[in-house]
Amino acid sequence: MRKSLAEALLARARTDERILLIVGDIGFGVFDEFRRQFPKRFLNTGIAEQAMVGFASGLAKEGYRPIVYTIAPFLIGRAYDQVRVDVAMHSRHMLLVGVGGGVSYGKLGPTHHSLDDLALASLIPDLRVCNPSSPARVSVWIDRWLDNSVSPMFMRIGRDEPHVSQTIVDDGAIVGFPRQQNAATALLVSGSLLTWAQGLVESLSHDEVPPAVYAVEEIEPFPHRRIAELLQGHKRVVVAEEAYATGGLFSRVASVALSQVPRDSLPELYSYSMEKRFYFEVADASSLLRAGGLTSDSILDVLLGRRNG
Amino acid sequence: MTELDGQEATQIATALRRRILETAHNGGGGHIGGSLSVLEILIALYGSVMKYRRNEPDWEYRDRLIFSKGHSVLALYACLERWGMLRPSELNEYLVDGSRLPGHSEHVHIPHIEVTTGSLGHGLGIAVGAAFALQLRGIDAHTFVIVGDGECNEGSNWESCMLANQLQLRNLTVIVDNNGMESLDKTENILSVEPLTDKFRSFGFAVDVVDGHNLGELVERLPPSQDQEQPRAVIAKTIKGKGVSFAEGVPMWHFRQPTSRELAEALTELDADAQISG
Repeated sequence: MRKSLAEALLARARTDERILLIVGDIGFGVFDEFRRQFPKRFLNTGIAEQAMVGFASGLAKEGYRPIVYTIAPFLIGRAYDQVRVDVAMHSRHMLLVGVGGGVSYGKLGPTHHSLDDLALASLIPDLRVCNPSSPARVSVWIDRWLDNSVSPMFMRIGRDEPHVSQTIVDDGAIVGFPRQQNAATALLVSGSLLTWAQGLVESLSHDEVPPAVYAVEEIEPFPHRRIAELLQGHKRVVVAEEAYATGGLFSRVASVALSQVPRDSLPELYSYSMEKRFYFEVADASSLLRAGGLTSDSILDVLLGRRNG
Repeated sequence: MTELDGQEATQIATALRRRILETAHNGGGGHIGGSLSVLEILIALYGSVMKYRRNEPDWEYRDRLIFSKGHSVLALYACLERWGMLRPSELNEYLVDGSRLPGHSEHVHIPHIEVTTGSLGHGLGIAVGAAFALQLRGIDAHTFVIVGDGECNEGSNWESCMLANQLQLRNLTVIVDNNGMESLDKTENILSVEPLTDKFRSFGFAVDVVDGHNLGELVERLPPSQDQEQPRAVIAKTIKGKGVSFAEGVPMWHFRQPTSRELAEALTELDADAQISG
């Protein structure tokens, strides 16, 4: 969703001179228009993520609204202490964008995959974390970051511009497809899996009742109340995430289930997280999702009650 | 900002050394060695070089001081108290539960402290960002960042130096408290950073080397020159534990709570030195 990000930033930058875009020597062609219109507000600080984040913190300290953009594992992994100390500890009003989250870098190999970024970012106090589910949602989160808080935010986006064909109902933290909200079963996914989930549902035959589909976009603060409501509204909930299980979406949903849902209202709960390993196989993102355990047939079987998980 | 003349400056240094030692003793410990080595640098900055307003910590045109070697905070506290930016005698509350004075510098409690440090290798990056922001906005203010020489082990510093050079930050001065030591041993025996002068020059910095305990020299050489065209590094040659003979260059004084006897001996030495130089 790089293109959507670039467009959203450009739109806001036209009316807010505080916005500066800082990239870690990536994003070829992505921000050309931004650079053309605002040459002095685009900086490529090179392959030096710790310096980049510290630098952005210094800019934010002096009143600017910097956006830092690089590949997700290099941002959250390599510069973790800078994110923790320079950004979150100082409550800097800046945006950290990790592109290629999950396995969206596919065949470029495991050093570029990021199945732990959302969990790592969620561990840092005072850092908001989001995972927009579609291109149109990127600008929504940009606006929320700029207008509705003074907190730093980490945003995970994929590389592509997925097409989401159905109308999305915005709950704030969670988006879904409206006509399926009262289904008995639900598929709850991490934000970036919405298109994948949509594909899953569209593969059903006409006589099969589709599940409700929800994509959790706001990871931190976690929408506990809404998740608790959602769990009580369905008999069977499958959680799928483009992330490892540890500290991931399912672990948080399960925690809500156990602590905030009356026992007699608990749904059957199933988890499909990515197998915790490095993905050395040369495969595109959709194949890697399957290799990691997010297999459509298996998940549909569980959703439709053909078998238990 | 006041000028420091020779005798007054020496008396101030002696008094603040006493303050550092007493505070570490009463508070339960502190990074004494590095606090004693960086002290004159801070005295020069607060007493003469920097422009700031003690009652207006967010004054837009103030010079910024990023104290990256946050473990030497006792020296910073002592100077803030001396120049009216801590309540009188607030140092007595150092490390006391609920006080404003923890063992590393924190921006949350003390308005005049610009950033929270303690994890090394962070301040320079933030300083580069702050200096660039001031340059963008056309604000005539200088950014000073104090780093330790052991801290220069951290690669993040050198990334930031490259960036400072790339951005041609003429409003940035990096001051290295070059006391030659880290926590466990001399820097040269652990991960040598020398030759620092050559390193900073090769990163595009103008470099000055000064006696880090000579206040006259610091007051004269720390101010940026009007025709500075590039970022600047000032390598301040210092002694870890300076002023206390049995602490100078001794690793265990990196962090220590002086015993009552050690404190008494140290204060006696300081008084004697003050009489000699007075």
